[in-house]
Amino acid sequence: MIYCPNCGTANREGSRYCNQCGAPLTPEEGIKCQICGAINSPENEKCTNCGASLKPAPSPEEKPAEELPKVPVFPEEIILTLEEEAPDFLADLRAKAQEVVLPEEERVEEEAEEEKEEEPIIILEERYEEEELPPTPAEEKPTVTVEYREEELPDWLKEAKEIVLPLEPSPPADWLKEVEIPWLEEEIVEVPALAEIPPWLEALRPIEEAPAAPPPEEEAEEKGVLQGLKGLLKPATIFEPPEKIPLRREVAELSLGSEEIQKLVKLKPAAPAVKIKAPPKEIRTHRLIHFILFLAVLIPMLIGWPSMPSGSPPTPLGVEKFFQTVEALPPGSFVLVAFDYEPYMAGEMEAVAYPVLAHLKGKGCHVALISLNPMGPALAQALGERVGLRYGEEFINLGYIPGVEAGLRALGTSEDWLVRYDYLQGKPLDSFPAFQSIKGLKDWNLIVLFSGQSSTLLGWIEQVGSVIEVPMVAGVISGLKPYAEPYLNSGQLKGLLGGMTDAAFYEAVLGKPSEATRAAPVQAFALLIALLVILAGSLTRGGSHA
Amino acid sequence: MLNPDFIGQWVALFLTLVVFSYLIKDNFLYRLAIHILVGVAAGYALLVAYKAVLEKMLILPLLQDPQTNVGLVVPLTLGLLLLAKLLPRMGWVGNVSMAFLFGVGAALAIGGAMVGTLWPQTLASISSFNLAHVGLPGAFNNFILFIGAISVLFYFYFTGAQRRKALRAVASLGKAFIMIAFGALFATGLVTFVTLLISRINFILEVVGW
Amino acid sequence: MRKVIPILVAVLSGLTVLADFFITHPILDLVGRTLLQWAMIVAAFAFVAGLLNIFFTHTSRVFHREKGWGYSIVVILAMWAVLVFGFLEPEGPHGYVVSWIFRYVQYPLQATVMALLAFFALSAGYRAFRRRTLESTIMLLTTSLVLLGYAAIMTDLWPMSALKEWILSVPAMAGVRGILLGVALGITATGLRILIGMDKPYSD
Repeated sequence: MIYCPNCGTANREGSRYCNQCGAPLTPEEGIKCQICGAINSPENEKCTNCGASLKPAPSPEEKPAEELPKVPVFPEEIILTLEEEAPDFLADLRAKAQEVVLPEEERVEEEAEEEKEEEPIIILEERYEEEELPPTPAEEKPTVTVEYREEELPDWLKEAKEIVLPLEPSPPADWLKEVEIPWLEEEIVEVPALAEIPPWLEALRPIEEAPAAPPPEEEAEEKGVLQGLKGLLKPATIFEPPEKIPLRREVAELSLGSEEIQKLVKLKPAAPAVKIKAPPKEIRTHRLIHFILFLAVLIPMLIGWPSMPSGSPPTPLGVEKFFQTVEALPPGSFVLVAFDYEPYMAGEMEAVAYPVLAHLKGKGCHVALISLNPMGPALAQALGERVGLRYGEEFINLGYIPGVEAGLRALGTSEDWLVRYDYLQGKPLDSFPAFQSIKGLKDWNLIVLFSGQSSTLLGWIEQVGSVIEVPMVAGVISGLKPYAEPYLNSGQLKGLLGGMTDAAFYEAVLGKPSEATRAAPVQAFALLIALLVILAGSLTRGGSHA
Repeated sequence: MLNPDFIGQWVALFLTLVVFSYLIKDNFLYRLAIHILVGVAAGYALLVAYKAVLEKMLILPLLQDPQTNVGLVVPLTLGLLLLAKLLPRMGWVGNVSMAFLFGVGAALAIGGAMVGTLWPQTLASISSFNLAHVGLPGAFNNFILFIGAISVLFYFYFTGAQRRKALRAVASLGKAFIMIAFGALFATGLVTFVTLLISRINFILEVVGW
Repeated sequence: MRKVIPILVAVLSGLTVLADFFITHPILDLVGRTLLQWAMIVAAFAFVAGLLNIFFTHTSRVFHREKGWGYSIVVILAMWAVLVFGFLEPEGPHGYVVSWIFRYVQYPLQATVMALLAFFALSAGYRAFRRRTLESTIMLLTTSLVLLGYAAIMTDLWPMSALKEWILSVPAMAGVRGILLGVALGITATGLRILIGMDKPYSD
């Protein structure tokens, strides 16, 4: 802390101007107080911080301080020191201190002047002039003056007449004649600068560390480009195992501190990270579910495919419309059939596509197979051959159209028919007599979509259906049926077959039972078992695993 | 006995059983089969893409009649730039081709969504409630369709803290319709998977000769 | 320049194709059709690039002896087998060997992988409806009625089948229609962002 020489306000270390009055804190010319270190203006006689005198220390000709008895700072120490050295003197002094005299100022001054001339008198007080006095309480405090004759003085005190303590700020002249007994005064006592460090202060001295051993002399590099140089870093090893830092424990101890707090918080050691695994009971349950489903599909097939019950359930509206649309085609119509599914969905889609192709064959239509995915042409070819369509006469394979939306839009907006070659033989379309009259998309009578993905279904409806007036019907997997229903409702699709169940209805309406009719009861039984499993699961307790 | 189709049937049976073995435990044969599938599917798709598209629509026309088909140089250049995406440092070269695809694709998506879905489906939502025209069941169904579509859109656009109770009520109704849709989608999805399972077990029994 | 040219290409080509949707003009139609045919070819290149990436990924795994590099050899060999026979045979994809591989290797593998999902979908259904909330109750009720409708085909409970059809064609369809409308609006907004250059998914 730095104390302002002007107003005495304490300022932060390093400050240049006082926060209170703005005076410079480090005057260029100033006297540093030996007691507190504050810088004072040259004209100050006393330190504005501690009140100590700023007068310079006595000249070296006077007796050095080391030879003088050290006067302790505090009254207790003074008492002790005096008692040690002159117990008798002090006892007499105390006895006579009881004769308290409360002189006025004038009387003291007169007495002092009178006695000065006669013999040295020890005045146990030091009076300051009023303007020099540091701020004191308003009421006048009693002062005590004890007078002694010279013959009563102890020997050491007689010799101490000429004592000049090494007090820089104190007036040496008065000190030579008077001995101060600080506990009788209530005025500020000047404290010697070079005081003995008390034991309590000594205890705070920082422990000096043992001098560090001198670093071993660095060896110079012996070889290489850096030969002869010292103080180079050694090559670091590539792999240094990191120090094990038990952070968790240290942090826990630091933050929680005592054992009592830890008990209160009930800290448990961090559990080691374990793989989250479903409990064995859950695994057994799911294996049982898998086995039940497997049996639900296998057993009806093993004991013989059950047949449909008598009586016909109501045909879904989409199936009926699909059938009516195909049935309304005149013989020799051109039907573009899109096979937009991959082998993933072929298990159900083939059951849906088979009766439709059979119906188209029965109607005598010219069918062109096209696909938006690379696997489609092969699946289409295999199904066409299975239905018994004759290649080149009843059906051709137009292959793969890339780009999904871009290809469909190009297909729908081209004035000429975009696909000019067949897929199997690479022949131009004109070389097939049955398909010579195809010049553009408008020449087609019906577009049949067999779609396993919503992207291809929506692509055909949005990119082609919005451009041309050719009717469109769709056969989709069961999972796509809810997606296709809005387009059936809006009239953008003229018919909808949603899965193998609807294909079974189609076969029933067509009168040609086939794969879908055979599999529908097995599907019904398996789905009934699946429903019971789901209901059983909803009744069980227990949270689901993340 | 050395009929390729006969051998093929048993190869297909073996591979089917290997994939089903995953239900018991993930094993080496299953992983081998899956990696064979990845390689074969990628190779087949690459072959079809080249033969059916690049060769027929690009290379052959350029070679046979370059003057008429000179415009095909542009997609050829864009396509080759796109292949540069495979190179580590030259990837930025393919950004022009990607930009072209994204621009055309975005335009097609917007046009298709507006013309193919938004307009027709909105019109279809506003069906007649006239009892004389559609009858009581028809009017009731059309009413539900209308309320359902509107409330679902309310749910999408007014989700969150809404002050007006009416908005919150309609959005809650929309959530109920969405739950019905999800329930139907889950059920029909399960139907598809069960049908696929029936198809595979039927194949196994056919090959075995049941 | 490196950033501006892709944006210009995306915006100009997209706006041209979009204008072709709504404006009928011979020149615009011709330009639009040309851009679409170019897009088909570039899309095929993109497809090829994706497939080549599979090849390079597995090749890199083999060279660097990463975990599972043995399986990567199988992928590479399978891919090469199809390509070699496909290019050797004049019919290409529908040549005898490639057709055999497609019919007896790829088809059964793909079909069986999807059939596995029946088991996992049912397990998921077993766990999905444990929480008793209003939403899950509605979903469970709908699922149960629809599955019962499919199962009722074996019984005389025809009303269940009719109820299933009604659910799929009225309330479920209403929900799906709302979803389709919402998705269409979202697609329009996202597409417009690309067409005005705000979104640049094609740049690094």
